[in-house]
Amino acid sequence: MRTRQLLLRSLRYILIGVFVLWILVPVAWVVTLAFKSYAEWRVSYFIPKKPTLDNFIVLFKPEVFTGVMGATAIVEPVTKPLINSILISAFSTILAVIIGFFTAYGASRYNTPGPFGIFFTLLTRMLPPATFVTPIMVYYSSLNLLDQHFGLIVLYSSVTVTYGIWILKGFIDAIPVEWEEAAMLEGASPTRVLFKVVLPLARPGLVVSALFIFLLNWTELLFALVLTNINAVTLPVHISKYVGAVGQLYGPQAALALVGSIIPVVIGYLIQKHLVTGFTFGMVR
Amino acid sequence: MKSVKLEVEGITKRFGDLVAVDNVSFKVYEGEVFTLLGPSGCGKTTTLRIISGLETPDSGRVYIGGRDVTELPPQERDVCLVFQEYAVFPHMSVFDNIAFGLKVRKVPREELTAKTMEVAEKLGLSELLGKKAGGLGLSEKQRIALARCLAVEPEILLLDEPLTLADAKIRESMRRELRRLQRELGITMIYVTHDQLEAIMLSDRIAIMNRGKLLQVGSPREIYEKPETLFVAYFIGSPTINLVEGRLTKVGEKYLLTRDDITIDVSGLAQKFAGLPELLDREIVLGIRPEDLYIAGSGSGIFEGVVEIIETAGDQLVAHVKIAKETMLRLLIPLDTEIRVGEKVVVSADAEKIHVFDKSTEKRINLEELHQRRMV
Repeated sequence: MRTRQLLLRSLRYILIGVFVLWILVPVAWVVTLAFKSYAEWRVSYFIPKKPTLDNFIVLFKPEVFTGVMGATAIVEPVTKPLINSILISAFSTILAVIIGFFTAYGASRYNTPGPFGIFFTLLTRMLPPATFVTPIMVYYSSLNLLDQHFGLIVLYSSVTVTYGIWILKGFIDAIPVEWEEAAMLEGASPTRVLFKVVLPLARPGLVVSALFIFLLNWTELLFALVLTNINAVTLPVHISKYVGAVGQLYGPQAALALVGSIIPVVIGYLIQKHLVTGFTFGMVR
Repeated sequence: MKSVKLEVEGITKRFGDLVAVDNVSFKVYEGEVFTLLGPSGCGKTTTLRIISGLETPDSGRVYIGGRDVTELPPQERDVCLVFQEYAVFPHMSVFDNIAFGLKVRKVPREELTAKTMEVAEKLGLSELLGKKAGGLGLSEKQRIALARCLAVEPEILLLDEPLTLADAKIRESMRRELRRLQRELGITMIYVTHDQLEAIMLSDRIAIMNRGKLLQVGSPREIYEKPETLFVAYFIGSPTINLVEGRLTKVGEKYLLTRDDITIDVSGLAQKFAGLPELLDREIVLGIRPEDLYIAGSGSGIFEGVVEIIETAGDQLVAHVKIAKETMLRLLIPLDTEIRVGEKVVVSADAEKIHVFDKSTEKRINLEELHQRRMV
């Protein structure tokens, strides 16, 4: 009996270990790759023999190392795509969360779009995005939204608002309606009830949905690739531009991947207190 | 005569096929504690919510202080509700909770602080003002909810089963506290509960509801002494009232109560039934409270029977006496009564304290009234 338990327990740890390795090894590979010199990009060992910052420098000053890395075309500096990504992701996240909050509140308390209406918002997520990328490109072309920040913001927020609605509805459903009724009986107007009672209590939900939506926007490639060219290029699109005459420029790509993950990691760190409450989905009492 | 604070006029509320509140009317006078009492699902909470404006009645009117508020939203009714689970805002401090309504009313800062402190003082919350309300215990939350309501000085204070969450000991002190505050402030209170003891101890008047209907309104004493329906008789009092049913017949000088093959001689009540031929051949139910019954000397009783079970109920005994097949009476008698299981006893009661109900309508048959009508 005891040995059996011991066996089961060790089996569990082995499985967890395998799973962790499965996830962490590629991440670790990207981290070391970012510090490897051109000669070591395709080697099979982990630790670079001659660690270098060249891959990072080339992101910001592409002209310096063109010869070294065998790139035929000079890739634009990363500054602009970085700023684009921050702006576009941030604004579309804010929009999606705000619209999502009000929609979710209506759905939770007044059943506004009706049971089918709220479900309908999910339908947009049931098609692969590739199916509607072409029609959207045609629309955007005639609306003059191609390669515009605003175009991507509108598209991202309308796609991700679905997640905002569904995550926030769970949180608002969990807030007892008596709290709102108590506030009403104290004389508070519906707007006041919404901002003084519901909004603060739904804060973990807002934080969780914002982070989730931000990550989706931050990593989106397909639409950005099709709808942007120079002006509104985002980080994921920019990564795909590091291609030289000899093939993929793994080093700068890895370096950019690291740079690109700094912001989500920092945000996640800052709001981790809320994440704990947030991921227990609305245990607000 | 005190002025009418609230008048509810024929309100009805349906939820789908269910009639939650069925044509209910009553008045509540200034400064009284009025309790809506009934089993769960009887419509008492819905009635309270209609008064507060959180529900709209399908028909009927609600007047508060003479003003028709039927169409008004809760914000404009000047009533406050203490919820069963208190609904204290968990993300705010105790101070902000109590001051919430004052802030909404844009009361100037100094006045707001003074009022909040005053109410907090009254409810023993002064030390907790800076704390977040979410982490506090039940009895604190209850006092905060009460303080929040009292701060805005509503016309009527509504309470929806505010004591059900507390355990028995705390409940008792909370009840006393509530009654003391109500007396002190002279506030009009409408109280909802399913606990008859709570209702009797707290209320000036009680309204008993069942299945959406208002059955009887009266002081606790009136309701206890003159239940208008079988339900009211059964709902009030503990242990519950004894009910003996059957068809009343007169054979010779004897009065008999029969049902199926069971016959009970009730000649001991001859004086009560005498001269009222309309009672004869009618299905009736006798209601006798256990505390009104006593063991009598032989020959002078109403019922005869055998003691089957004796239970101790605190400082009294509950004796179960079988007076006929399938017919038991519960007696609440002094602890030192000398009876044994299996003993034959004679059971008696003051004839005036025996209630008579019509079995089919379940309504009280008012014997005095019948007697008086005879005499005229």
